[in-house]
Formats: sequence, structure tokens, C-alpha cells
Amino acid sequence: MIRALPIPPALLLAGLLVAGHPVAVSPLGAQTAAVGAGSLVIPRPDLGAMEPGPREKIETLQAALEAQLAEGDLSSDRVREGFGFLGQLFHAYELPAAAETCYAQARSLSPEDPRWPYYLGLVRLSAGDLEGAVEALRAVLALTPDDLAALQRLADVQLELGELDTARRLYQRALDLEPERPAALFGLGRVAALSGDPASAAARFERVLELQPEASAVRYPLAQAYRALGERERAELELARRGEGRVAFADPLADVLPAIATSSAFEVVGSLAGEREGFSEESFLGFVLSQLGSAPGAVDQLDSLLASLREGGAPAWQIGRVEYAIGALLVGHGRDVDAVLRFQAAVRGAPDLRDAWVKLGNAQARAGQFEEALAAFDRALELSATDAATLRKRAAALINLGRGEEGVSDLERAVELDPADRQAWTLLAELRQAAGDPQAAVATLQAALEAMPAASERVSLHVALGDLQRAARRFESAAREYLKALRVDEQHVPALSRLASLLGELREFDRAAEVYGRWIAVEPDSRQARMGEASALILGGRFAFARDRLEAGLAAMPGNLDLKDVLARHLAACPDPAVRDGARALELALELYEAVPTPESTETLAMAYAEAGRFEDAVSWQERLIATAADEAADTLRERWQANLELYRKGRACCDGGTE
Amino acid sequence: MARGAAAGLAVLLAGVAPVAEAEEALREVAPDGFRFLQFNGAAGDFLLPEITCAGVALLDYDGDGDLDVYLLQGAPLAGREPTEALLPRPAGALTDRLFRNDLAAAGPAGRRLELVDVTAASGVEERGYGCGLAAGDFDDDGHVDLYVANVGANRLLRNRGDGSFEEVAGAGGADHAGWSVAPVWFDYDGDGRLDLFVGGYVELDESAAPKICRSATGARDYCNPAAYEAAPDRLFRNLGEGRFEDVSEPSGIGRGAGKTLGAVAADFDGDGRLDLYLANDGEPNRLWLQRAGGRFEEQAMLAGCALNRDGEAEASMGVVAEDLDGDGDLDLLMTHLAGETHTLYRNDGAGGFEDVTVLSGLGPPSLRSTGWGLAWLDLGHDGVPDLAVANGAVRAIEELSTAGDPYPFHQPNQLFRGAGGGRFEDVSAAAGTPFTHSEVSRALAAGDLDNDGDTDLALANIGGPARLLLDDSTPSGGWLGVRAVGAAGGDRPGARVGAWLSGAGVRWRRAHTDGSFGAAHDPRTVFGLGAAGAVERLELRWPGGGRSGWRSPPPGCYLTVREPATARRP
Repeated sequence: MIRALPIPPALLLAGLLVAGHPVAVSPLGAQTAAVGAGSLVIPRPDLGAMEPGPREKIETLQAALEAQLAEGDLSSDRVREGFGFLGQLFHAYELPAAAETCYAQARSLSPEDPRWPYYLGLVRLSAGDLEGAVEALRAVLALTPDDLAALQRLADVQLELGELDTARRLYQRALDLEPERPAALFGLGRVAALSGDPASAAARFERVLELQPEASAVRYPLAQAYRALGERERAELELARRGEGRVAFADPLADVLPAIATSSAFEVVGSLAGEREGFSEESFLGFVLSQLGSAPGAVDQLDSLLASLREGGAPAWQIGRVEYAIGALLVGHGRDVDAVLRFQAAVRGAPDLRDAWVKLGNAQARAGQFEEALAAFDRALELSATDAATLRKRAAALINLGRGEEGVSDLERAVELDPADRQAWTLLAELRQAAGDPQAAVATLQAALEAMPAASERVSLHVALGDLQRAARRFESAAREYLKALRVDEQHVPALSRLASLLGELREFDRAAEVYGRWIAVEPDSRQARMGEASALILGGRFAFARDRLEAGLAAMPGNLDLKDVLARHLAACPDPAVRDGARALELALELYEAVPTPESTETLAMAYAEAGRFEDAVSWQERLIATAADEAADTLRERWQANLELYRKGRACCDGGTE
Repeated sequence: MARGAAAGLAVLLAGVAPVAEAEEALREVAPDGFRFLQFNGAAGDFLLPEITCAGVALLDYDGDGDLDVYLLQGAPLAGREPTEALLPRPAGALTDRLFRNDLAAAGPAGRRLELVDVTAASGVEERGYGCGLAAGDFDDDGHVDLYVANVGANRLLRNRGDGSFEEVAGAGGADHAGWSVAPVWFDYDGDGRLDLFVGGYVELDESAAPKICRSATGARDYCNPAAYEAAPDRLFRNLGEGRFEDVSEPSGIGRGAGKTLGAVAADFDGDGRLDLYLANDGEPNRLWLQRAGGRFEEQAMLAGCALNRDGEAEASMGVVAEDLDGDGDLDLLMTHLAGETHTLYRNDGAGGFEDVTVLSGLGPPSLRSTGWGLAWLDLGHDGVPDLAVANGAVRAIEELSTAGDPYPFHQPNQLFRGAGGGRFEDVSAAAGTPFTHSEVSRALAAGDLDNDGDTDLALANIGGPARLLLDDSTPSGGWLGVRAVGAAGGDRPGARVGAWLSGAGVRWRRAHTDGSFGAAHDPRTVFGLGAAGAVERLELRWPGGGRSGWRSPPPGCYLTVREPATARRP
């Protein structure tokens, strides 16, 4: 009986992207295929009988979403919007079970976004799941208590459930928000009729018809109320005037669904671009990226759209928005230079498009155009002076221009506005450190740690604080910070690498080797970790274990020449004769020299020949080394080469009697 | 009885008793001789009859005191061969089937059903695409006859009384060539002869290319009935001697058409004349109130039973007209499409109805299913009507399609326990296999197949087997059955039967076979006595206006009450 008001298509499309909606997974009704991390699934209902157009639209989006999930960033707008839009598509094509699955996942990814529980409520309603609809609509109202469409829907469902008192309260709440709201008055009339109060029902229905005369279907329940009151003639009169018009209310999220079924994503983008007041540019862009980010030829098609908009005399604002969308796509394709031109065009057409200014500044900064970036960020901040991220970006541009001291106030304001902006805190600390005030830098990061709600964000701050302490030669404090980071995330590589390095520097070789080992467990292919571990073990005197770990490293990274070099030298010159192995050293050294005939590999080869007892070869290669590289080598190096040459000439292996 | 809306609400809500845990009240039985597989002819053309029609009648065709079973069969459509069908085709000829119940022959030691296929012997080798039927003794010879509504020419099968039937529709003037679903035998003019209403569904031109309709996804799908013109309803007056006169126009019944799928004949306004209520598919329902001179006046809008409480026409299928809230007048209940409810219209006792679905408990549980056949029964003889609903979708169910189901339209049937005062509780989940098993059900007929006083069910499915469900519940009270018959022994549908129960007031029931989609019920009426234990007085009010009474009838048996000749209208 109640339906949504007809709204112009463009406005309906605006509803898609949080217009009027200031921004747990249900049972899966459709066959699903697990994709990506966690429990996220992309529903795959049977599309076999579907027309090619709709099927391709769905399959394209499924594939794009699958690719996005494979990237593993489940928090991205593209994934969230992708699940939501796929749900809308399924919903529009009357595949409610698949739609419900998508909406539930969009909701779990964006628990603060009321769109998804609202759609979840709608799709559950259409499936006859009234209790489920109540749960979802209540969730909408918990996020946006004044959402009239959700209030209306919830009241209607409660009425269906026979919960007359609850329905009455909800209708009344809707009337408090919008006095004379026809749909709520109609609901109260229905409650009155069911409560045995036909007089009140008739009064409500009459008022609905005064407010919305086209809702002629209301004349039927009005007639029943008059009949119950014994006013047969009035009842007959109302029946004679009865029509099919239902009570309408604005419901942009519901009304957008038919447009989704019939429009291409490009058409939707064009319409959305024209909705200047309807929704934020972030939401607009979220749609663009989720729908077109993976579409082949998306930029070309948007250019075609742009041409048609220009031909049709579209306002500069609308054209600017499309340019903005194209710029964002180009950034996604790594084409920053082209993106700069598009963003510049965007802000010419839509000079108050704040996010376009920000993105222009970002692209210019990435291109090293810091003066231009600074100007763009200035403009963005004129439009919104309280945007913490833009303040931080402007500070970064200033730092790159050597005007770091000017960035301090931006960063201070940024962390004041958004205490969770870890990057701003870190930059601020770096600036204070660079300004020669390490204590202030440490204090900044300590303040950041106190302000930071998320443990995951604190990990990086602990590392940064450790770095500051280390720079100040407060090694124990530094180690404590790294350990704090590892307590939150035991596999955090920056913390592991810094702690291992610090322990090595403190000559705690065993502990260092242990931390390097943990690092290797996280990153088995890390050359730096392997080399660090070998160094710590050798310096700690654990020669045999060092050999074994180097062999293991080489097995894991057989092409790594650094490891090969270190192992060859270790086998050729280890202080522990039991570890030495001339044959293996020579095998490695020959491979190394063949791959990279450098002074270093030449020296290694000579060392290996000597350990293998082939002193003439050792002498020959050492002489070649000295002849070709001595002029450019440091004195200490030249002296070592010469000393080793003497050893080889005497028929002795490298470095006997001392550690090289 | 007139009463205001507030008082009506009080009646609805008063005395709502806790609903007992449902037992597995109805048990499927499969007698050896009972095998029937409905053939819907679906071959990929998405023709509306494929997803609409199935039928079953419970009738005592051989007069041996127990109910026999007649089942409608489908046929190939649109010139297709049976071999092109997508669903399994039954063995043997594609004809309707008549199964004789040899219950009596089973002896007093047991009431085991024994059903024998007597189709060939009875001569009812009806090969039309069956979609509805009505059982009644139109020629007043004491032998129940059958009117079979087809997609195409209907058949009037006269029972010769020797176990065989002959087709007489054309000769008698009751022929009807369109697609009709809801025939009803009723003596509207009170002359003692059963007249015939035939509810038309839609105009289906079988010679034309099938309409192409698509779902929201663009896939081929069954057309919404809105894509078709409504077929006209017809009223045939029985002139006696096997002749009928089409009185559709003079009676008013022929004015307008509403895609009728369910029909009941009853005296809704208490003036002693039988009226008609028509459950229409997506169109306003109709209440034809009979006036003097055999004219009918459509009053559903004013009476409040044309549209639901929001003023919307629903896709009405089966209908029950019975006193469901215990206040003595006839309420109306209809089954509908998924997304709509089983909608209950409470009779206000003053000729008006009020949609009280949201207060009945029927709304939420019915939203997910598409209901068709509908019957009330009294499980346990507690005197409170319960409801059985045959369900089956008309659009492919997404989850079933996704799972690769070749015929993704099946849904479980439903059982609702009456809680009194017009409230019901869905107890399907606890009611055993017949209500958890999922099929594409359509027709549902209620009747006492094993003559033990409780109501059993016969179910006809599309593309599946027919099923018989016996009531095995433990009665909480006694029972009394009443069969209202005419002078020659034929049943007299439309008679009102009142039972004054000891200490429990009067309870009114309606002798009928009509209402349920595609089905004919047992014409007998059963009273569950509940705590009352005994009936103090029994009264029958005949369609012709007379009354019959009986004091302290014995419980636990069926009484046959014969209509006195004086009861008939001149």
C-alpha cells in the first residue's frame, strides 16, 4: 500500500551513494564460493537463464570483487562498495538470497554505514523474513535515529507482526520528525482500525488524502472505517472515488534499485556527477572505483561520456566531476602525470570540489611538483580547513620544500583534529627531531601512543619511538619500544629488523641471532635477515651453526650472490678449522666469479683456492686482484690483499691465526 | 449478530489458549493400489497451466459409505508431444484417475485404506488438462456426479449409479469452453436441484503462439496472470432432467470477470439465500449477494472483503468460508502468493468483513510461501478449527535454482493450529513429514477417508505424486458427523448445521465441498466436541429455507439428515 515517491532518475541514483544517509553475516541463501581472506564470499546464484546483459553486468562485478579480495585489503572502499553494489544488483534482479549475502558482508565491512542494514531490511522483507527485517531496520536506526524511511519501514513491519503498540510508537516518532507525514498517518490509521477505533482511523485516512490526494487507494480502508461507523453512504462515496494510488514516501535507497537494473555503471556515473548537492565526492568516487576501477577501457568510456555531456551542454560542475573520476582511475593505473591534467580540469570546472584539489596535490607531490602540490593543498584547506589528512599532506609538501618548520603547525592541528592520524604524529616527531629537539620528538610519539586507539597503529609508533631512542643512544629504551611493538605483532618486520640490528650493535650476538631467526621465519627470502643472522653467529663465535644457517639460506635463495660470497669466505677463512671446507668454498667461489667477476669475487676465489691447497692459483688470482683493483682500493684493503698474497706465496691459507 | 469493531477485537483476542505442541498429526499412507503422478506437460514454453493446475476430489461415487478419490491429470500443451516433457511422464494413458476406496471391505478390525484404480471400468478416461472439479448430485438420483473444469472444454460426468459415468455437459447445456478452475454446485434458487457456478480463470488461446514473459533478470518465466484477459464466470441453472440454462447474464454473475481461482457458496448476509464469494487472482475478490428473483449483486467492496486492509487486491487462490473465530458467523480466509499473507476476513455479523490477518498469527508465517489448496480441520476434536495449506511457488526459487534443482518451485505445506478466537499458530515444523517435505502442491481436499471421525487430507501436486494424509492425532474430545442429503439421498451443500454443545454454546458449520483450490472436499460435516462431550441439539438450515432438528444425537458416528420436501422454495 505504501510505496516510495517517484523521484527523478538522477536523484534516485544519488541515493545509491549515501544521500540522506549520513554514513555479522546472515545465513547464506545462495551457493557461494569462498574467496580471499576470512569468511567473505561472493555469491554465485544460477545465472544460466539470465539475459546476456544483466548476466555480464553481474559477472563483471563478481570478477572485479574477486580481484579486489585477492589483493587482501578488505578495508578498502572498493571492497565495501563492491559488495554493496553487487547486493544492489542482485536485489534489482530479484535474486534476494544472493543480495542478502552481499549486504550482510557490506554491513560487516562497514558497520557504520546505514545503507547496508537498510537494504538488508528491504531484501529480508521481500523474502518474508519479518523478524530479520526488524533486526536490520533497528540497526539502521541505531546508526541514524532520524532516518524516516527506516522508521516507516520498521513501523510497517511491526504492524505486520501484530505489534500494534510498537508500530504506533514508531509512526508517532516519524510524525515527530515530520509532522503531517502521510505514510505515518496512514500507519496510525491502520493501527486505529485494528484497535477497534474506526473514528480515529477515518480521521487519519482523511488527513492522508488531504495531504496526498493521489493516494486514492486509501479510500478503501477509509470506506471500511465509515462502514464500521454505520455511515454507509459515506462509505459508498469513498468506494466510488477509490483508485490505485498508494501512499508514497521518499525512499531514495529503495528507488535506486530499478535504475541499477537498467543503467550501465557509466550512465550511473554520469548521473551521479550531476548531483551537486546530493552526496559527497568521496562516495561518488567510491562508486566510480568500485564499478569502473577494473573495467577495461573505463577511461575511454568516461571520455566518451564526457564528450556527450559537453555536447549536451552539461554544467561545468558535472563535467568537472567526471574529470575528477577519470583522474582517480588514472591514479589507479599509475598514470600520475595524466591524472594531474585531469584533476586540473576537474577543479577548473568544479572549483569547490575539495577532494579533487587533494588528489591533484597528491599526484603533483608524487611527481615531485611540491610547489604546485602545496598550492593545491592550500586550496583544499580553504574549502575545508579542518581536514586533518590534507593538513598533514601540506606539511609533507613543506618538508620536501625544505620548509619543515612551517609544517609543524599544520601537523599539530592535524593531530588535534584527528588524534588517530599516525602519519601526522610520526611526521611531527621527525620534524622535531630534525629541529634538534629529540626530547620533544620522543614526547610527541609518546603522546601519539596515548592518543592512538588501535593497537595495530601503535606498533609503528613504538618502532618510531625506538628509532628516536636509539638515535639518542638510549639503547635499552629503544629495545623496550621494539619489544613493545613485537608484543602487539610478533611478526612485525620493522620491529624485528631494528631490534636484531640494535642487539648486534650492542654485541648481544646470541640474542641478535635469535631475533634474526624470527625475522627469517617471517621473511625466509630476506637477504638482509640472512646476512644479519650470519654476521651475528660468526661474531658470536658460533661458526658451525653459521655455516649451517648460510647453507640453509642458500638453499632457500640459491641465486643470492651475497650469501654465496659470505658462505664461500666463511668456509675458506673461518677461525675454526673444522668448519673450513676448501672444496665447497671453491665451488661457491667459482660460481660467484662466473656470475659477477668483481674485485670482491676475485678475492673470494683466491681465498678458496688457498683453502683448497691450490696456492699457485690463489697467488695468480690474488695478483690479478691487486693489479686490477689496487689503485682504487682503500689503503686498509690494499694492505690486506698484500698480506694475504704473502700467505698464499708461503703455501698458507687465508688469515691463519686471526679472523678476517 | 451485529457488533462493533471493538467488540469484534475482543472476541478475537479473548480466550486465546496456549497452543499445545503439535504432534505428528497427519501421517502419509500409500495404499498399494494408489499410484498417481501428475503430468504438467512443461516443455520449456512456460505456459501458465503448467504451474497452475492439479486437482483432487473426495466423493463417494459408489455409495458404499466411504470416500473415493478422483484425480485430475494434465496433458501436453502447445502441440507438444508427451515425450518432450521436462518432468517424468507417468506410465500409461494420460487420463484423470478414479480410485475406489474399499475401506468397508477391510472389515471392522481395521480401517486400512485399500484403493483400487477403477478408471477404466468407470469410463472416466478424461483426457483434458484438468484444473478444477466439483462433486454433486445434479440429477438428484442419489449418485454423486462430477463437473471437471479443464484448460479447454469442461466435462459433466453423470454418475450412472452402476459404477460408471457418462459425459453430458454438451447435451445438458453446462458446457464451457474456456479455462475454468473453480466450479461449485449449489442450489441457489432453492428448488432442490443443484445449480452450477463455473469460475473462469484467464483467456488462453491455445492456438496462438505462447506469450513470452521474462523475470527481472530477463530469463524466460511464467507470465503474470495480468498478462491475460480474465475468462468470464458462468452460472448454470439446473432445469432438471439433465438440462441447464446459462443464467449468467440475467443473474448478474456474468457481469465482469475476475480470474477466479476459488469459490464458495454460502449465505453470507443471513437472508436465507446462498451467495457466492469468489477468490480472484490479482483482481478484487467478489461477493455476489443473492437478491430476490435469482439476481446477484456484487458487494465485496462495501462489505470489506474485496481487497486487503490496505486496499490492495491479492492473488487469491483457495478459500475457506467457515466460523473461524467461534462467533457464529462465516469468516473468510484465503491463500495467496509469496509476499502476500494468508488473509483472514472476520465477519462482523452485520454483513461486513474486516481484514484481521495481523491479529490472527497467519501473516508472518505465510509470507514466504505461495498458498493454494486450503482446508480447515479439527485435529484432536477440540472444537477449534485448524488449517492446512498446500504450497508451491509459481516463480523459480532462487536457492533451489542455485542448487541445481531441476524443478525449483517446491515448498513445504503448512499446518496451523487453531488457538481459538481466530488466532492460529504455524506448527508445520513439528507436524511431521507431510509438512516438512517439499513439493509443488496445489489442490487439497479434506475428508474422512477412513471414517473414524477425523479429517484426513488428499493432496495433488504438480509434476509429482498425489498423497493421502490420515489424521492420527489423539482426540481430546468426541465427535459427531452430519451428512445433509436431499430426498433422493444426494448431498445438499449449503446446508447450515448447528450443534448445541453441553455447556459450550452453539457451533455452526457449513455442509460444503467447495473452496479449496482445485479440489472437492468431503460433503460431510464433523463437529469436534472438545470438553463438551455431547451435543444437546442439532439443527440443519436447508438452502431452500427449511429447518430440521435432532435432540441429543449420539456422538461418535455420522448422522444422515434428509431434507424435508417442505424445505424447498416453490
